[in-house]
Amino acid sequence: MDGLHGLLDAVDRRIGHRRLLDLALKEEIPGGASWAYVFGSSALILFFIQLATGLLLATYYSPSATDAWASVAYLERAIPFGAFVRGMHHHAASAMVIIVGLHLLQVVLFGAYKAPREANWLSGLGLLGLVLAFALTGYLLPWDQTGYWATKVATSIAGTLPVVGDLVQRIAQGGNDYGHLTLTRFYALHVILLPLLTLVLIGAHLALFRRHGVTPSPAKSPEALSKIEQLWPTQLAYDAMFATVVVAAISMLSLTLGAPLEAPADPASNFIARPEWYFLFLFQLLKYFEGPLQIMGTVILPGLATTFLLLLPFLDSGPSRRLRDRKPWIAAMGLGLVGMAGLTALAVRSDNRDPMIAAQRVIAATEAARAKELAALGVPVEGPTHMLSADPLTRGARVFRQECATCHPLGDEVPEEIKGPELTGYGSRAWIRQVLRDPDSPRLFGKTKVSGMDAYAHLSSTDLEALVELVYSRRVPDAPPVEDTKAAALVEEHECGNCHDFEEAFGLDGPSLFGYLSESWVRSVVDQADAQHLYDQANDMPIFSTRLSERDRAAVVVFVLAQEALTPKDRWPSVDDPGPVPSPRIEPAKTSTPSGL
Amino acid sequence: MPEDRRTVLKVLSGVLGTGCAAAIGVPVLGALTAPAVRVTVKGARGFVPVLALEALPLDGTPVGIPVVVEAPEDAWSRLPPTEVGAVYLRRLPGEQGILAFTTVCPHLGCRIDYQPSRQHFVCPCHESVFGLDGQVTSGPSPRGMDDLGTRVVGGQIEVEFMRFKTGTARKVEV
Repeated sequence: MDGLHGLLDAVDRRIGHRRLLDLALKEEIPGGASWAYVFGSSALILFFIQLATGLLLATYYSPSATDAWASVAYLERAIPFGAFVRGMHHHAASAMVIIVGLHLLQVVLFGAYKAPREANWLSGLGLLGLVLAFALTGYLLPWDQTGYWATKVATSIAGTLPVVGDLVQRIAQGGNDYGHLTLTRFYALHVILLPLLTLVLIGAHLALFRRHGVTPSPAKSPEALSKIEQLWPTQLAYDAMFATVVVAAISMLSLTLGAPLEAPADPASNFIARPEWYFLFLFQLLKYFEGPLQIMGTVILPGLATTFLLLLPFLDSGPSRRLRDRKPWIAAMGLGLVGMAGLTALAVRSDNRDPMIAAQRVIAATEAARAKELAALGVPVEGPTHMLSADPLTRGARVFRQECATCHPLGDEVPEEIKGPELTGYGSRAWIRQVLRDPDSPRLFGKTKVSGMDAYAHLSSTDLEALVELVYSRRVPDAPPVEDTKAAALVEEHECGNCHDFEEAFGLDGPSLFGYLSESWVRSVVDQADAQHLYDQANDMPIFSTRLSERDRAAVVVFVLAQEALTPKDRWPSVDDPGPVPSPRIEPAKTSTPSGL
Repeated sequence: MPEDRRTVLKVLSGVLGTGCAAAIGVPVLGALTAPAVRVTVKGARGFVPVLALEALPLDGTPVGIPVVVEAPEDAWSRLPPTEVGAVYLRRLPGEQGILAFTTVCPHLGCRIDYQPSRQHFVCPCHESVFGLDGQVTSGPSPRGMDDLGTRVVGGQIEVEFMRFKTGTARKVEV
């Protein structure tokens, strides 16, 4: 030990580290250590966590509209700890907002903004502004649907400012619209300018804090205040304990939830933009002001609140820090807080009650999962948005929602007026069985002009299954002739062949079963369902060959035929399906995605 | 304050501080160093067709040919057909076959030129000179030019394109 002390002595004579350590650790706290003082140090620790995790994210991130999403998805998928570190960065940002908020409240309750600490207060508000600026710029960087659309709202708000709005918006987004330059700009702000400003302001805030010392609770008696304690070890231990709780909480959230990554930003989509939870009150505020009053919600009310905070030390200028002497100011702060909490609750409630939003969330989750699945095979240079919209399954689902879902029920999506057969589990044995049992059910052809087929619910289950297998097997090119199947006698007995062609003949009244439910058969229905060999005179379905592009028709067929693989077994009433069958055409999705839409 | 309470608080601070630092530091360093043991850029795998056999001069003159890979990958990207490098091909006398060298200098990775007038290979960076057989004749290169596996399939010359560590006497694939 003597050797070590000797070495430390020698080092101290040269660099003087002991004086610095003493300066840091022997800070005197009148009234002693308190749990009320832990928030500032935790905010500082969160800032360092953001520096460390942010540095790691920056080593994988590529700020360009064609690469950003793919690089984030790659970090999440392929790099060990990648998803965890990104989760930490995400949840530490939320924690930062909470901790900084608590810090501010503690300062208000203790009246710590009063003279001579006005500059402490103002530098703290500056840091709060930087926290929000970090949140706003960082939200866009993954270039996913939420980040893209929520940030668009923010820059559009800037665009509505009187006189300078257009210029401000163009400067903020780096041009006339969102693109590469928006990302490079937000990235530069987020990782260079904002951290530098924050370091400078933190330095000022800490120096001012050390200059004036802590502000003890106004309730403390003079005797209690006369007790002086040093920062080290009690206060520092309190700080360490609280910081550990914060780090443990964000670690748990990172491990369980991770950070969200929606589907890649798609300017053509109708994604419902929602900001992060701590901006929801501002979002909700926008709903109440219409037309020329819009500026109330975007600028005037938030501006008044900010001005109030900035002026608080000068408005509440009396010498007393006791709560009962500061009632109006405490009440104003309380009112503001209640207002923020209320608006946030209203925003969450109205979203949770809106079935449209619930449906959109299912679509968003399906597309996000599919995008990640495709990205694992490598993202083409055109970028992930192109990748996803070129994917037949995704494109087909979009076309289906637009063109087909207004008549055909599918999964949870039921049109206001059902006009076509339900397509949940379309092409599966369960679906075929239902058609055989009850073709005129209102869920199948009951609401169409297609009619005339007998219901076969009365058949024995062996006979019914034989027919199901017969119909199911028509889709493969080398399907055995009817005579060679177990259903041969049944087909004869029930005279199926009087209405349905089983070979390529196309002369009968009912729809041809030649190649039934194969890709080309379904495609011919999509193209022209009133063809003579299909539904002919009984058809109500629009003719899509002239209405949709070749690519969209091909995609919607892929989507419709994927329903067999995508639909969970319990979605169709007959759950006694004989089990999974290898589909000859469709590659089933690798992960279990919610059915369809 | 009693001295042992102070000690408890000091140790507690130290333990918690170290724990928090580890909770952040270990994952960050883990993710930061992960690419060291990963293939992040995937170029050619196996043999790649480069030239029709009949296009290779009979007199043994080397020909420089780019190597085009159908779908190379770079981290998250899948690229369109891309030139990922180049090779020198040379017909050996008689029926001895074909010699293929990568154009990457084994010294420090510059691109080697062929000088027809002197019938040798020269690296323009540090003036390593290689004979037609790829052996070093002068200059700083620690080993001869790196040869690659070749085969002829349906009249097309195919090369097993790969990259090697530079600056070492031993030829090691990277």
